[in-house]
Amino acid sequence: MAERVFVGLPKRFVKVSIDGVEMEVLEGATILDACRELQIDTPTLCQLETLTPVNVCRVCVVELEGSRVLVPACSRKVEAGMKIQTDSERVRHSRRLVLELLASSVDMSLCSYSVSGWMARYGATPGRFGENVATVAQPVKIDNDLYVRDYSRCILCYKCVEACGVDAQNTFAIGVAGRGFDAHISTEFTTPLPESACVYCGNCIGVCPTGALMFKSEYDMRLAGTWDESAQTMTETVCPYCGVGCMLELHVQDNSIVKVTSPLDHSVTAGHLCVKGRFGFQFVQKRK
Amino acid sequence: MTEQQLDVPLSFEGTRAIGATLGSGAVIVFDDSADLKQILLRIARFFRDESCGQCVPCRVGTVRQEEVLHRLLTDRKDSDVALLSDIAQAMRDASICGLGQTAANAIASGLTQLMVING
Repeated sequence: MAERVFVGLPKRFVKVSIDGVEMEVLEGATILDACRELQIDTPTLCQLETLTPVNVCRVCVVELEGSRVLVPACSRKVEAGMKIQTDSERVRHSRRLVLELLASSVDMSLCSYSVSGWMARYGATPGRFGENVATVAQPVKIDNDLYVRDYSRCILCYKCVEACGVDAQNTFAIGVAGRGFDAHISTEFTTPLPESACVYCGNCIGVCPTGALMFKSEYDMRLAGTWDESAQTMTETVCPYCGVGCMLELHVQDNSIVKVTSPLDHSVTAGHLCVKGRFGFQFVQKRK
Repeated sequence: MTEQQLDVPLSFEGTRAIGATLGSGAVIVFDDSADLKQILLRIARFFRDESCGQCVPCRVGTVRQEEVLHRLLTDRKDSDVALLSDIAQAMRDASICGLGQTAANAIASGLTQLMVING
């Protein structure tokens, strides 16, 4: 007789109402999952499919009937009978303010286009707080040949910390130091990266939504004005180093590899690589 | 609250009814020589200092609240009053914990009293 395999308890469906639409969602799903099923475009900054929700950016908040405060869609699980509004006045107000507060204190110019789309949708005007307001502006940290850290672009979404920790790499080279507005991402005792526990897997770069963490190659090209995403091609391949079979996406400009990523939905990597796959590509373009 | 409002039960409901908040139940008494503006700024500074920095509404909101209040107390502009109330609502609705959710309460009721006193 074949060995019995435990496949888990069957999951139930729970009934919820989102913007007046009654729907059934698999229990254990988040409100965000349900919104996406209904194709409601919900802004998110600190949320990523491959990471544990930390619900700190608060841009995905929705209004839940009976709740005193708004709830984060990314981490709040659906419960039977929930009545949710995703576009009420309160929701729009908080989403607008979160975007304004962030954009007035952080350089968000390298965020994806969807962020500027949300800013427009919610009428965010970060300049209204005035001119001489506190920001996180600071010099770029360049202390190694592989990647730079520009914390004037950091929105403190915690994604890099999670990727460096239990969600992927288990290296724990970085964490959040300080408190309040002074909270920031730091290595232990603020040591430079080469002296820290960092193993240069670059998984923090892979999850950074703002360009605060960036390949040195991309940073140098941007500085020189030669970075041109429209002129780049992307080639999928498998990492040649070991037998794990990580899928690589080679971003190529002018016949040179300028950046290496891996797709989030790849079964082997979930977007994560090691130092060799991420940065060990120079041999490919060594021309004699 | 002002002298006229002192006859109020020291309860959540009682203080809420007159637009104040109970907080942790502490009562601080100021006489008319105290500078209310400085007290309000001190409260704003307190919440900015106490924010842990985890969520955006509180981390940046408490900083902006102090900045706008500073401006407001030197040069009163209606746009800044509205801005303060916008920040307050987002902090109240979207902060993770009670600190951010209540960081604007004392400022709002203090400003109201200041306007009552100054006419």
